[in-house]
Amino acid sequence: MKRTKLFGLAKGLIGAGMLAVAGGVLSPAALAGVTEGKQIFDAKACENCHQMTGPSEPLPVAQRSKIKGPPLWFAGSKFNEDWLLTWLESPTPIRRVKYGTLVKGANDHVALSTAEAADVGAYLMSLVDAEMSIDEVVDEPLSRRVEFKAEKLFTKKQVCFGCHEYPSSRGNIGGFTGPSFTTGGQRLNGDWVYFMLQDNARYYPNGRMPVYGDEAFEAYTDDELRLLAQYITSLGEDGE
Amino acid sequence: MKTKYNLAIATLSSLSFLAQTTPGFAATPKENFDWYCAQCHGVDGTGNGINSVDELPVGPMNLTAAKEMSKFTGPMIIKTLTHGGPVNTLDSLMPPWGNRLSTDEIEGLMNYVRALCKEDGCPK
Repeated sequence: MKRTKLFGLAKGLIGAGMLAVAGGVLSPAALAGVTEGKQIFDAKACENCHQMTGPSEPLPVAQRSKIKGPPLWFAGSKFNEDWLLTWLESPTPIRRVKYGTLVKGANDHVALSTAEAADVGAYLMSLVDAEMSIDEVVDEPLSRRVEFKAEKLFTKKQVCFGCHEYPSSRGNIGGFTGPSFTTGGQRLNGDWVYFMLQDNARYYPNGRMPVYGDEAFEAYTDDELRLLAQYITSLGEDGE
Repeated sequence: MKTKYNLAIATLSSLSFLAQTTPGFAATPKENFDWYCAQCHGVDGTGNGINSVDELPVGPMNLTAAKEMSKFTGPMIIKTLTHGGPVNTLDSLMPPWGNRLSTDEIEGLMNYVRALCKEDGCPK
């Protein structure tokens, strides 16, 4: 879980009840990046595929296949900045199906120059979920014993790997329709994973993710949610 | 901050549920099947959905096969759809959909699943 200067700044501002992009609050260089990034984002019509205001509204099921990319109104809460900048320059598939479909493959995504990626990355990292509190999830490596316990939460208590590929001791295994977690540690912020697990409909009301917690499946306890978020954001963190 | 968040979540969750079950938002059984169930069971129900991969411990049930479906009454299918596989001693890879879909939508899905089974010996 890599923390970066801009990400920390944006989250800190939110924690203080201020908007991350409020004029005069960010440094001039950071603010320029956010402004430039927004202009590039608009010029490339990124909003045609990505929802930029939230929380997202649920759509009728029949309309959901028209959604071509993930919502980004909380991008600064969700992503690690280093990963995001690299991805914007060299987009690689995050899931093994085209977004919102059951078709194997990946969407074509525009690749940005290094300068464009820096600005768009600054803009996206300024977009945070103001209702999400921070520093909920421990940012430390898991011991083997605790990692084993966390993997059981992921594969047994609820069966996340039915849809999400993950790096098990037997290699990468799991379904196709959810985003892969083989590099979850590089991509995701643990605090956001913790909050998303508590209510995925806040972020993805138009997804396919089930909501567990009734007579057949026990809900995760709060400690288990924190551990699961720590586990997911430890997967592939070292680039393995 | 956290209390405020939880309150907002509770409110939004309620609104989401209302939106999904309000007339005009309710999906047809085929739409729900194709969106939620087909990712494992396949659009045709034979169990060949895209999440049906060899590495997983159990494959999705073939919903068109009399041998499989004759074991289940309508209420058992509704219970499985609502609460997930373990409630009927099926594998935990079958998740619960009762927190996503209304009771009417679950009943519609049960009838849709029933109709996928056309072999001799399929329950009518």
